Amino acid sequence: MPDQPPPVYLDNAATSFPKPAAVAETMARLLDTTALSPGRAAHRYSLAAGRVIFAARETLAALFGCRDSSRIVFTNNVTTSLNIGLQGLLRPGDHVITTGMEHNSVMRPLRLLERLRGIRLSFLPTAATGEVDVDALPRLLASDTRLIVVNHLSNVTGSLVDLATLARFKGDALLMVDAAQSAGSEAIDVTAQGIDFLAFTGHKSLFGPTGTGGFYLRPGIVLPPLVVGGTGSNSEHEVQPDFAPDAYEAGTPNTLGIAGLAAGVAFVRETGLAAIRRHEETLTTRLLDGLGQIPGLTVYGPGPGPHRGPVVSIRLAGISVSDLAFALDRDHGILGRGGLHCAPAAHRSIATYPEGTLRLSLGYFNTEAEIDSCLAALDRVRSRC
Amino acid sequence: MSTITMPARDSGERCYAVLLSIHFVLKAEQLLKGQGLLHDVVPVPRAISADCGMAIEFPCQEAGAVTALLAAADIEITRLYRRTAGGDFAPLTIDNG
Ligand SMILES: Cc1ncc(COP(=O)(O)O)c(C=O)c1O
Repeated sequence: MPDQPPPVYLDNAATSFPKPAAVAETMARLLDTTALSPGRAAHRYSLAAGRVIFAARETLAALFGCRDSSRIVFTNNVTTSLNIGLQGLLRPGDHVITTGMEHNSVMRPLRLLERLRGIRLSFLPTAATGEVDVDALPRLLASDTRLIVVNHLSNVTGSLVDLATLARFKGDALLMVDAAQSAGSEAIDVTAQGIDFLAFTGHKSLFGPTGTGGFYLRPGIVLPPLVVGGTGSNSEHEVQPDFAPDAYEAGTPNTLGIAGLAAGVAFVRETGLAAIRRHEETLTTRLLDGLGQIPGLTVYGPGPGPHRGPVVSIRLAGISVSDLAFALDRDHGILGRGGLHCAPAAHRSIATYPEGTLRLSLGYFNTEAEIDSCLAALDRVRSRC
Repeated sequence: MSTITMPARDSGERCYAVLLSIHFVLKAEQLLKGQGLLHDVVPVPRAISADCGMAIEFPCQEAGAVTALLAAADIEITRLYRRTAGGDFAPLTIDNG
């Protein structure tokens, strides 16, 4: 058999691949050299594990412009973070403003609370490109609006939400941001951007392993935890501590994963968000320009430029999304993702429901040559349609 | 500002600050290091607390500087003790007036 070229991975919005070398190195070294149960005992291994978590909190706090790293809480993923935030913050009858571009990790908790607590939902209008009309916020705000929750960077179209405008008009409402796609790729400063709750996942643009994530909770906001249990602190008491981060971190944490996440975040900070963004924008522009040359191909999302991220949704006339994804993988080694991307609401907003789209999502480690291979492959699939 | 009811002279005595959790112990360590204040991170003495965590140990003549630094960083000291010559732990009061 002739040598197959290595696959071109264009599913970074699902999880980033590859990771910076330091991620695996850090994790392997720790696994081999120390026990990983932090804050539980007073021996040196437990202290070392505590230091791993502390350093990770400090690194993430610095990345997000948060001055007090005790406000960074670790969870297993952004889904858990969003559930803690939404289920903890929303009270019976509260009004919530969201967008038509939310992932199910926001929509499902909201729909659940609609049923269980009678919360009321309003939606900021969304254009067919997935761009959210944030200027409509003042019209939707009510005296009982508790929360505004938005997907910062769409995992379907790559469109970005203008957080500054939301923060400017939010009044007494709290601003919760699902930064699953944007953390590590867009500049985020919780203090300057007026974010009250920032939910992030570790395994996408922050380059950590799966099973890592967390949230930032603005000082002064107290939420009931979703899960309670051992924290290593206040052990003489049978009630959960009420201070961050311990209140929300019951159970032995994923110390190994968090160490890997910290190495990923260190890579982001050393490389620089501006450099990461520049590279991703160059690749995205190259992809969008090439896609525009392919007859019968439709792009769903904003045009090239700084107002979008590296996530591109397409369809090709004459072939289903699932067949397209399969043909690209099997015949060309191009790994994209077909379907709804866990965001049926977003696909309704851009009129691609229920079939969905083929999503090509780029990352810092992709190259121009890989983009060109993808474009050539799409052109070949098209010629066979 | 917190003031502390302690003799300022160097008595050679050691003081112990128990904080909310390991996060705050390590934050305190970072701040104390930054200020060049001598200290150790040690297991919480059993006589002070049943908690299984770590505490900050430091020379008692630094107690004023240590408590001021932690207060300025909003780090709550849940318990503060002085180890007496006899080996007992005597509580210290922090006056956050
Ligand atoms: C916008 C958005 N929110 C939430 C998630 C859920 O992330 P996780 O599965 O890591 O919880 C994803 C990705 O899967 C996403 O793209």
